[in-house]
Amino acid sequence: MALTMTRTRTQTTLTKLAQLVANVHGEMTFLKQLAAPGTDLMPEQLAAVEARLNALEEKRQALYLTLRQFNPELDPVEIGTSEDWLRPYGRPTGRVARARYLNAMGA
Amino acid sequence: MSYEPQWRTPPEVKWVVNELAAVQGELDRIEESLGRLLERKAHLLSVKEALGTVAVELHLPTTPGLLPVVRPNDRFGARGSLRKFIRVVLQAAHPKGVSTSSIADMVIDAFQLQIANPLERKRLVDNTVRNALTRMGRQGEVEPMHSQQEDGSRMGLIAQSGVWRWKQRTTTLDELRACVSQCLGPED
Repeated sequence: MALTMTRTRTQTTLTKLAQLVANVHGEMTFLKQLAAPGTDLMPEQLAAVEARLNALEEKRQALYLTLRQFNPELDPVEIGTSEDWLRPYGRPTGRVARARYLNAMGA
Repeated sequence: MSYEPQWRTPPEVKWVVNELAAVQGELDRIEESLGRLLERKAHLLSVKEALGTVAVELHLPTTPGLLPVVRPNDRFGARGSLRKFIRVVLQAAHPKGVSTSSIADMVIDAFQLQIANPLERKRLVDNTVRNALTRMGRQGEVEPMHSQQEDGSRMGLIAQSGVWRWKQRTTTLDELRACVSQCLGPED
């Protein structure tokens, strides 16, 4: 891979970064709904969800910084959510995938 | 009439005081640059950490610490920004030319470059601005008013050293005649 002295920014890279941000947004939205007041999660499950939320928050900040480094005019906050983060656990739209995800997290 | 002795500062004292002031001025500029550079370093370290996190997500084949280093051309922002700026300046000044030195001053203002001493400014003028103008000249976008024409005459009324002008294609007399005859139509 040849490194260049001028920055090469491509649409493919932008799309990939945006997808990563959308996945983080989607996962955080799902977990926040789970951890909302009045939830029926056990305390240890809640702790696992909160730990995962903290890790995702750090990842979100890193992605925001990276996207702004790519193009300072972009606002990563405006990127929507995606359900692709559930793909390793099954069909993203299905309930089975969510259940597998929560099992894997220990919640 | 009483005689009042006039006190003149000896030239060597004047020189030392002046030099002290200039050296302090340059030291102040360096301090300001250091402050700005430390802030920039802190920001870049946080960006480096963020890129390392993203690299893990993208399953980079090698660890970020083992990547070779590149010094990017970043002074003027996006690629082609300097030439774009020079184009705007010379088009606005057309049909007059603008000197290399004036263009360099405008570049320093527009891109908010920090020039610590005259040697840095000279390097900017000689290596960056003049090179960009020479390349644009080769591509036919600008013309140096200080150069000689093929017939030995100069473009400007007097030899204008280091002055560049936007090159605009002028209509030839033949084209004008063709245009006129087209407008008037064929003679009966």
